[in-house]
Amino acid sequence: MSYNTLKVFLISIFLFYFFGGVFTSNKLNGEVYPFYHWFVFRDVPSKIQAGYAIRILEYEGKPLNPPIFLKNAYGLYVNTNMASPQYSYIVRVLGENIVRKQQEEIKRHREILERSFLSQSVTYEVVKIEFDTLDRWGTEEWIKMERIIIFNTRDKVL
Amino acid sequence: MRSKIHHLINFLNQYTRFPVIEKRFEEDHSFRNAKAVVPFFYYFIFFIAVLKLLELRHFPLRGNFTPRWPIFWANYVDLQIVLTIVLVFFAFASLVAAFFYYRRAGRVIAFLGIFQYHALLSSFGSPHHQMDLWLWVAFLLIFLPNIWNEKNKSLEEQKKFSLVFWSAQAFVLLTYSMSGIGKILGAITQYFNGEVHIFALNAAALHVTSQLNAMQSTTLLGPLITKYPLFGWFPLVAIIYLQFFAFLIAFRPSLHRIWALGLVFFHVGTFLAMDAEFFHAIPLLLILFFNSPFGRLNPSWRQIALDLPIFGWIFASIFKRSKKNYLFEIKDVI
Repeated sequence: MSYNTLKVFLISIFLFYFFGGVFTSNKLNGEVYPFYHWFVFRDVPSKIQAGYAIRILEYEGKPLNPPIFLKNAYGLYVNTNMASPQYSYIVRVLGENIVRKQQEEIKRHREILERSFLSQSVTYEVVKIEFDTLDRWGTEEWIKMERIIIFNTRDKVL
Repeated sequence: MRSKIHHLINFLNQYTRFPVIEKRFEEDHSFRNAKAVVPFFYYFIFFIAVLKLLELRHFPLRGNFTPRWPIFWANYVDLQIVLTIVLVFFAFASLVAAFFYYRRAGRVIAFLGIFQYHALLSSFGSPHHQMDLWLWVAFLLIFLPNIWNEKNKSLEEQKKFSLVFWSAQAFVLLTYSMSGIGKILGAITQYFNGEVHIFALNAAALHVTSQLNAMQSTTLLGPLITKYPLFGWFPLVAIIYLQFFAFLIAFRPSLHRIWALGLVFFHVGTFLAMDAEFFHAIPLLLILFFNSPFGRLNPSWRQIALDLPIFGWIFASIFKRSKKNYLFEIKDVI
């Protein structure tokens, strides 16, 4: 391969990767393997954000009053082998699919959640919460909470 | 049409200063330095692969296993066997390349090992990009010409060697620029939507607390940035500058070391502030840029200043010289 041919080839790779990456930014998960857009931390989070969370309502048949957020239940109900960012990702995707009524995706992510984090027999709810980004950190404060579904780990995943 | 392409190429050459870096490709010491650095890429890859063997004890399963296309064969094999094959092959392949870096076959095998491991990491639902840069640099280094033996060295082959090494540098910087472009596009979109954008004074604080909320963690600098948002604003603007113009720095060898240092600070800083870890990129920045074959160990500060994006243009106009003329006048301090 001559120098100029090699130069054109390498520049083509750059262009291919750049436009491939930009193209993937519109895809679900922002990825068409092995290209990536690298648009990380692109948008500044709003001051008021909405998200999803899991609250445990019953543990081994005993109701919890008040219910406990799953992320506060380490050592009690949680399989600690999975890292927290994966938990946040799975809960977010589960919540989004519940809202969109995507039954197959709900089933899939519920399986992952229960297999990974809910090793005990619990009744839990998925809630949509609204919170102030700056206030929530370290305080768990929320502005609005709305239950969107209740699951029981004893029930067969539908 | 040809003349338009010719004009475009001339414009790009002038804007990026590619001819300047191409002059460095012809220099013998650039080739020798590049030749000296390449093995360290494979030595470090082998070190990573050996550490990953620890995952044979316990591989962090992050979700459902859906094999990516490079490990299509994993659909027919038990997951535990897949993990064993991929991790052991990764270590074996990188050891072969660490020993035979001067052979294209060795470098191809290393690439295959990284590719299998990278595909495995990305097969558990969410994307995983820690090894992206290593994968693509390993791919590019395959194209190094076989002139490790000095007898095979002609000027053209030497230039090709330097070009491939430079392309590895340029690719790494391209990914940072893509990140910077995303941030600028995001800022424009959010500004016109009336939302908080990245140049707002509390942008860093919002990024930090949102990330820490998601990670359920705290950091050394997190509380400081949340309480005093301006403390995070200046580094954030500096990060955007470092990222957005990163690809341009590939063409400005006087800035290779300093820019890489800035990017290292960026990675360490985002971990200390946001618990966002991307440390796998750091060794690559050290290997490719801290002893960049195309830079000088002690470039003159005037050269550095004039090569800086935006500031260089301002300095050049202040001193009432064209940058092009200045570049060919200055003598680098060796």
